[in-house]
Amino acid sequence: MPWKEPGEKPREPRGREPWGQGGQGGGPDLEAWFRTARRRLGPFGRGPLGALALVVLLIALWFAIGGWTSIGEQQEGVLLRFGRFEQVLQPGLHAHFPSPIDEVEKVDMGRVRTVNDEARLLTSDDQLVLVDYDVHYKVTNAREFLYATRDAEDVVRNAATSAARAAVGTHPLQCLIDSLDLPCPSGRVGNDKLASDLLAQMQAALTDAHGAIGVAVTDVSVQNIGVPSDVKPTFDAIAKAHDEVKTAKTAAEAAVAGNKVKARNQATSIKTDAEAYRRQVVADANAAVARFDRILPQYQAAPQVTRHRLWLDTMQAVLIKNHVVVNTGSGNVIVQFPAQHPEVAPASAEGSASAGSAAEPAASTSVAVPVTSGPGVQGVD
Amino acid sequence: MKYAIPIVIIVLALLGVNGIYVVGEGHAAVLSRFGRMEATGIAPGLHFKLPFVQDVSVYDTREITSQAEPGDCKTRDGQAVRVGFHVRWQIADPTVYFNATSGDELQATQQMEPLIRDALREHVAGTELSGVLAASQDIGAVVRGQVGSEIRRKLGIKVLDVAVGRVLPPEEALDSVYKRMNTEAQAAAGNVRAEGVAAAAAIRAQGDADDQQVLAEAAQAAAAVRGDGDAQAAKIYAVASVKDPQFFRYWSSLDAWRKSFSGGGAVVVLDKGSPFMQAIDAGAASDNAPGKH
Repeated sequence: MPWKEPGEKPREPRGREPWGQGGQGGGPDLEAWFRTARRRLGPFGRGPLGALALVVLLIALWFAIGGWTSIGEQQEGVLLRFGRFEQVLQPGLHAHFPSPIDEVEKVDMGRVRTVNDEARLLTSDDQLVLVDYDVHYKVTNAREFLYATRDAEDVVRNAATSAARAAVGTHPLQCLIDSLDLPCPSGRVGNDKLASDLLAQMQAALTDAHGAIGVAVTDVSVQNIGVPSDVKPTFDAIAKAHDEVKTAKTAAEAAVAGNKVKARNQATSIKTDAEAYRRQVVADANAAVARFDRILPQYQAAPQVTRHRLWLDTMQAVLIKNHVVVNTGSGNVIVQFPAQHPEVAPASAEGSASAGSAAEPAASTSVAVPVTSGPGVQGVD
Repeated sequence: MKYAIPIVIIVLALLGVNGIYVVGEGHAAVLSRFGRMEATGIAPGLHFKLPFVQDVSVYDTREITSQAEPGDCKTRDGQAVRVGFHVRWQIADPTVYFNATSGDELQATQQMEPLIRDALREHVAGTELSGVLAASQDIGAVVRGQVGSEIRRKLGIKVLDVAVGRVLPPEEALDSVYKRMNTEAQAAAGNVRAEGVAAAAAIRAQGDADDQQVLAEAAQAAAAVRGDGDAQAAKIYAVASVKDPQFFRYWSSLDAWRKSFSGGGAVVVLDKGSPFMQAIDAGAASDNAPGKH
């Protein structure tokens, strides 16, 4: 340390130093200190002019270091002189008095500031929702921002709290939570609508009569509206119910689509059948008429014989295919079964034998034989 | 002796420093002499005073926001709610303010809040819950009107605004709120299901009705086609029958008879007196057949 060094044995100036005989009135310590200091200051230490130059230099230095401020793009500076507002500095380089006299407070004007809140709020039907929202605001007036309120962010935050309470408190829960997809006669609110409501309310509140605070709310975004975790499972069940309903509707639609195809097919086949029927009856008629046309000349040639023959042919065709019960008039019944069902014949024959007269069981079966055989009947003809 | 000059310089400097004061932007100062106010509302800037004789107190003239702990209130419709509020205020009358609070902001808010809370509670008691929830700026005006002048008189504070913040059920009521919410959610889920079931049923019913209509239309069209076929056939028969109506009738009857029994499985009962049996009997008599009974 230089001022301790010369304490007891002050260093005598060498040779031709002009200020060597300087102070003889002051104390030896101070004198030595001044001497040392002056020596170190070089030319500024020489005489009263030198001292003035030193002061000027110091002031120049003071100004050079603290006498200017650079205000960046998107910034404003508030210049205070002895604490009092002087002017607002726009972006650029500004000269002013150095620190204790002038102070510059810089404010970011371009930056979007955000207040985030996740609040539990009462709905108009006394239920609780969780709303997560961001309020974005900008400084519009640097001086007001700094000096109109102590904490502008706090004002914005409180305004947001009030606005959120009012915006949520005027709607029932089912209108607020879109994802629940519940009926809402008064109109859905949802994230975007709630955000715009909040924005409108906040702008009204902050530009109210209580004086400007130098900020403007630019945007409000609602990230999420949900229910508190305590009741989340039951509300999730609503979404599940929606899923089930969707599944049921899809199933119903699929069934309807399937049935529709079936019905159309059925309708087509009904029409096709009808068409087939039409062709069939016409074809049958044509065929029958063709046969009739063939038989007609025969008939006209020999009416009695042809009539009888046609009758017999028909009887034969009928009797061959069907069960025939012949009532002989004497109490015996002859049952004949068509040849197509031979396995049925014996059992039923026995049944009829036991049911009928026991006198001639063998005869009734034997009688059936000639009736069954075609040639027997034809022989009669 | 040799210290005299430095001492004088130091004393002068002290006096100078004590005689100069700076009031910052957003603040104001009051000047007092031995506790008695001499000047108030001293604006921002550099000022002088009598050193050590006058005292300067600088105070904030900016707007201050205090948040109050939520207070329990009861609305007109009997709902217990916890209402939070915040107050925007400003020191308007520094003399009164310093006398009442000795310049301590905490003291100021502690004295101000009960007054506002009481006024607010009174206001809430006369308002439905929905009104409290929807409350906007007007509630501030009401409270301000009620206690604004009193606060100004007592504390030297100007109440700029009172806003209702959070309005929530009291902690001890949360359980019942959640219970009710659960019930309502369950009911809502039930409604969703019921409506869904009804909607699905309606979809099916509509589908069935559509199908029925398609089938009915098809049946109608089919009937027309069939009828057309029958008509054509009838015409064909009619044309043929003209050639010999009597024989045609006989021949058609035989045909019908044959067709009726063509399926098989029917039982044909032949009576002894039927023409068929008589024809057989007649033949047997001439042949001496043994099958006669």
